[in-house]
Amino acid sequence: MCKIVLCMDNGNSCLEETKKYLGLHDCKVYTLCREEQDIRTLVEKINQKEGKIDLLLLGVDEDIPQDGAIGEKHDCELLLEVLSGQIGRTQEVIDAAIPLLRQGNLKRIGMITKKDSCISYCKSDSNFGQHMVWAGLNMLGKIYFNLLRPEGFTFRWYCAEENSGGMSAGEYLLSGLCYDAGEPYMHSDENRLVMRDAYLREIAW
Amino acid sequence: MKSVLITGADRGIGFALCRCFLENGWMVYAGRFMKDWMELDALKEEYGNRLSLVNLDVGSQDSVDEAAQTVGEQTDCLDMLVNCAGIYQNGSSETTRRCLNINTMGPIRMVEAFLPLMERGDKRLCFFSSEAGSITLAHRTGDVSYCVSKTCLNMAVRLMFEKLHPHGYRFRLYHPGWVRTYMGGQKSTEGNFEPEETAAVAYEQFTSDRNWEDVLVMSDVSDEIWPF
Repeated sequence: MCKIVLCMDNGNSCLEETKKYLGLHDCKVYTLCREEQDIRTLVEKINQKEGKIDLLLLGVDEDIPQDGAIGEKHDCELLLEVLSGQIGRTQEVIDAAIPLLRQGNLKRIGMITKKDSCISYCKSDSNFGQHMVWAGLNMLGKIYFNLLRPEGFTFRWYCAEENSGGMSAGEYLLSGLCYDAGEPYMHSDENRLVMRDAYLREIAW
Repeated sequence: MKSVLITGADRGIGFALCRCFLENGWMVYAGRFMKDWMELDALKEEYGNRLSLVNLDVGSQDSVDEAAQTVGEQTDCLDMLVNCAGIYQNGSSETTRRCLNINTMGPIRMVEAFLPLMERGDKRLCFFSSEAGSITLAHRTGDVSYCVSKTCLNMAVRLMFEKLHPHGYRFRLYHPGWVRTYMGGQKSTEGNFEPEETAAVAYEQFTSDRNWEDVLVMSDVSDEIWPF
């Protein structure tokens, strides 16, 4: 059966390739463009045509303006706009999609992000807007995981790196993570929010 | 005499920290947000010139800049900056914006404004974070505004650490535990610690040296390390 995908397109270089992959693997992809499109209108359109969403695909924005290192006189009002705008927009999209995700078979929320979104791994010393948005979206994902996993929702957090081989984002987003979806083990990837890269290495938050 | 600036010093943990530093002989610049809250005035009577009250709203760039100018007129050297001011709100996009403005952007504004004064001091930057910002251990199904603001703060501190640690700065990222504070507006009757208890531990962690200063960690009131 064709999987219905809603993709939030917001300047992530890996998303286009992933959408193509999904299109070739029995998925019908609806794309939500940047701020100009009303999420509720698009969700209503999907509801009328499909009646469900299987996968909500999010991606971190790589086009956030570079703002330099501490001491370089940041425009904090602008940073606040970026931060609250991007976190708020993503939360709005997730909230709008949840009712149709409940009707889907996968009930899946996927994120294509970067290793630099992880506070443990990040070795950068600059660009507060970009890094704080990325890290904040990881926390947002964890809270939705806590909220929705008991209902059977599944989550895929994929760390995209340029020129890497291994498993593509599309493959990872559609893959199962355990033989038995009801597997009770604490270590099952399905029962915790985990970020993995193309070689399935776990990236600590 | 060593000097420290503490934000959110009116009451709760910030106020308790002011008293700790004063009792230990420090010059304290207390960031004052609530002009009609009189506890700092009583402390001023007790300690005189060793306590300087500085009007400060960390959510306003103008206020932070004015505070930096005020302190700069009194001293040319600040040893430690303690970012304690914080709010706990949840429920809407507006509360998320408020939490991000105070809890996340506040410390960024403060560090940028006070770096010139700290260059000649002990170069110690301290931040109040929270377990609520730990993605690894997050157990909440709500509280988006507060949790996200503390995660973003942790990331901001990481970026500052990578930039400033090679220049001799030392960092403390502290989770104070569940404290009976005023963060919800009224003093909470729920919690595991009084502000004075966690402030005493914070003082010890902020003022003592570690032989592993090249690692950024979030430590708590029990001296345990928390994952990000």
